[in-house]
Amino acid sequence: MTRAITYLVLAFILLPGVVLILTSFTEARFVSFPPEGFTFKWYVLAAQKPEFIASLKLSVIIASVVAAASTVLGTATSFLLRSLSPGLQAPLQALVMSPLVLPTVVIGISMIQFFTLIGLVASPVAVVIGHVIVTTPYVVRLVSDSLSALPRNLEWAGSSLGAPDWRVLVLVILPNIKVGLIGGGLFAFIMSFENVTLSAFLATPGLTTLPVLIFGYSDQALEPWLVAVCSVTVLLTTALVVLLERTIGLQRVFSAKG
Amino acid sequence: MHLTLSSVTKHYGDVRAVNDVSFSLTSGERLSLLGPSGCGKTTLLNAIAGFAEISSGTIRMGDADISRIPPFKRNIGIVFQNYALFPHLDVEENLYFGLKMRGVSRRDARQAIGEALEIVRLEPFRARYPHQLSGGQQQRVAVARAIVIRPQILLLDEPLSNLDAKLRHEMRTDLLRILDDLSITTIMVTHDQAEALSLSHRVAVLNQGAIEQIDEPEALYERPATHFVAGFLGESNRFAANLTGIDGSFAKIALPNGGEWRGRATGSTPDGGPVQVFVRTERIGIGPSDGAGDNGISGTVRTVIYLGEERRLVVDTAAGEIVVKLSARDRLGSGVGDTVSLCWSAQDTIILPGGGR
Ligand SMILES: Nc1ncnc2c1ncn2[C@@H]1O[C@H](COP(=O)(O)OP(=O)(O)OP(=O)(O)O)[C@@H](O)[C@H]1O
Ligand SMILES: [Mg+2]
Repeated sequence: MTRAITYLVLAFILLPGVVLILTSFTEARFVSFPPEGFTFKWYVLAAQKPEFIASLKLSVIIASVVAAASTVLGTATSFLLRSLSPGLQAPLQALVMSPLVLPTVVIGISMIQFFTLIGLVASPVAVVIGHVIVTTPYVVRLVSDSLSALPRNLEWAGSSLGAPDWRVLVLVILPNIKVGLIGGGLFAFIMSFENVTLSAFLATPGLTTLPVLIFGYSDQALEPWLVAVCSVTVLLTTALVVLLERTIGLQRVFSAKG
Repeated sequence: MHLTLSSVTKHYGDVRAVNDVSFSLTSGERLSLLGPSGCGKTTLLNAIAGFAEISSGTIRMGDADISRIPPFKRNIGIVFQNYALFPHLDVEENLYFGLKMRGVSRRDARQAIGEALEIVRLEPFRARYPHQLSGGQQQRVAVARAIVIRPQILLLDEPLSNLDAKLRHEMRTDLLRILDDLSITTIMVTHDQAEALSLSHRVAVLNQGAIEQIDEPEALYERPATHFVAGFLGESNRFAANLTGIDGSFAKIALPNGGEWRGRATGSTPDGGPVQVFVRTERIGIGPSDGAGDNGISGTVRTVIYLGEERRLVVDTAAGEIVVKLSARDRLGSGVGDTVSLCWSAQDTIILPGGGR
């Protein structure tokens, strides 16, 4: 019985994606389900749309930069947090995690105001900074988890064997928190890649990420090539999620531990 | 390498984890640190290794003051209680780590690593990762990793504590052989008194961060200097008494119940006044007193506990409850409720000045 329910829920979750992907192969000129026939022509058509290619490129670039930046920033933050006394650690940790509990819309609005104030609006830098703010907490969580599982003695062992601090970092600490680093980076990439709200707030005509592009078409009749575009993003994110699950297991990303 | 600590103190806030500790080890000497949990043993080792900066005092290796130099420059090998092997490196790489930091090429390191692994008898395990080794094997890797760098000082924090009794015994023998082979100046922390007494040249008993007594194992056991040491090492019966006079190498003591015993007098034994008398449980026998110098008392057996190697008797006497430890060879003709006479030699009657309970 519980099993049946599990499968039902699973089907319910997976169905939209599956329908989407199946639909993208239809030969009809309008979106229809079940699909009629089988063709890749919408993918070919999408690939010929410069706006699609441009926004995909932009999204990948932004997500990569965001992943790299938030991994570095998040890791540094985790080290900082760890070095603090317990009394200071808890409030600062809460502060770092706060973007997770604020609605993204609120963050978006406040960031527009902030960026306007400093004259940075409508630049890719603004988008990257916006994304980094919401992805870094995940990196902090994953890296902090890895770090707290690391016995202090390990570092001491390294330094007693003659390694100065930077070599202890490179040769002892980083290899042992690899899982947190990779997981955090991948997750930041996914979060950035599929982010609509912030990108929409901070986007300008020349600066449209893929999700924003798709979102822009949502008030028009759905065309099969757009469905193909959506399928591409669904497949890409799914691939990354699978990779993430393989490296660290998803429950660690979403674990209640803050 | 000589190691000299002078008035080393380490505070954690208000806690004096290490309090005014001074001692000096000669080259190749082995010292055990013994003391109750929380007395500051690990803190002292960490201070010597350089992980915990000392609040005051100096630590010298040879003639050099190392109190303020960072751990990676001290050339001190350390084996942690939890081994702290690098989980991402195999055995060989764990051993190579310290050599690499010393600029030894991988080719040149091979021989040193081979030798160290031979000493701990782990050559076949070179390519294993720590998680593929048993606790005892991991401990030996930790020892090998610490000695392969030829440290001038070796620190061992409860190196055998995670092992079961049998493996612990085997490892103790192995470790003794290793330490003898290397003759590195060594400090070892342990909870196990037998380990401390058997593995080291001298033993320091720590209490609340301070050294109570530091001495050779036998001297420490036979001639404790403080109530704490007399009570901490082994198991003793303790009596409050009055010293009434000195008779050559013996002291005459009077018990509150009217009994008179003789105890061992040393240079520091006072001429009179309140004293504490300690008699170790294993030095008491059952049977009538057979020598003129012996002390005795009779009592009723309250409990008998069988422990395999030994038997523990609790006997109610006029001087209070007395615990007796009999070896399995001692015949025990008596059971609970029987009246027995206990006897022990005046030599085994330790007298320390001072009142108390
Ligand atoms: N980092 C620290 N911060 C504050 N207090 C500490 C710290 N490390 C140790 N202490 C305190 O210092 C005292 C000595 O601790 P230490 O770990 O040296 O004891 P130990 O003799 O090794 O005990 P055990 O036999 O249980 O290992 C204890 O009271 C402990 O609570
Ligand atoms: Mg300890």
